[in-house]
Amino acid sequence: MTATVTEIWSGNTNPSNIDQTATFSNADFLFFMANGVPAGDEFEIAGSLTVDIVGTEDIGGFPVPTAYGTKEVPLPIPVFDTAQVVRLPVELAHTSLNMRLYLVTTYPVDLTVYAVSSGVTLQGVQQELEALRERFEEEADKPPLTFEDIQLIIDGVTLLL
Amino acid sequence: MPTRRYQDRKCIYSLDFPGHTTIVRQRVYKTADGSIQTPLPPLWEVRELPGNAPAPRARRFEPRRAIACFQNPENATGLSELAVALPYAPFDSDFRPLVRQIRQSPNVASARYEGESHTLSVEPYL
Repeated sequence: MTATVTEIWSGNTNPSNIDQTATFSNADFLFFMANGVPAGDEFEIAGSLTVDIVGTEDIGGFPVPTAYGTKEVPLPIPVFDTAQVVRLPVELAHTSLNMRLYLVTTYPVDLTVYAVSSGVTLQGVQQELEALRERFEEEADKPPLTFEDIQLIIDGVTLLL
Repeated sequence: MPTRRYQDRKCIYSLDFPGHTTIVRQRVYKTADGSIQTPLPPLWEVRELPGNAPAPRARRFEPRRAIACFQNPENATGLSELAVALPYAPFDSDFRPLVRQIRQSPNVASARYEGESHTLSVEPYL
């Protein structure tokens, strides 16, 4: 299994602005690195996750992308902690919807933020389940075994049971 | 929510049940330039556990703690509070001296105390 790590923010935050990371998608968790402080020091940072809701509309028989706006996503934790991995809500993990993280700090903080995809997608799991289902169906379609089919081979000598 | 710089430290903690100890995590808050704000007096440091291994959060119980109150004009209340886990059980001779040291730490305006509380069965300690 492989993981894809994408850097979505690097550098100092600006306390007089709301900082916006790069857009990312298909991730299942985020992690933060605290830079410029001794090993062992970490930060608690307020932030929020937003997602662009985009669908398609049928116009004259053609699917046309339609934007429904940017929505804020409630996260189960109110504060991002640079010592901990932050899991994305399950409904947003591994979706192709574009997301961004907004960070609010009360003084400049030197940070690097990564979006990580562990490589396990819902589509991949569905494909695997479908392959298993087909295999079971093939097995079920085979005629049942008869006594003539069962052979025991011992030291190259075939015994019919 | 203010941005807060911190360091997680850990200490050997004596439970209210004699003969039982565990490790608890102490989050030590710092200013942006790295000065320590959470009062950790010498008697606390005696029980500190060195090393880089992260300490897990207490799961079965909430440790007893002293909550130090500071004047902070940036907050609407004019106050801020920082909690210190007290590693000595109330019947240990160092318990009250440690609370006194926390109360007498620089800039601490007052201190209150919250006892140990257990969220799960205390059966393992009996």
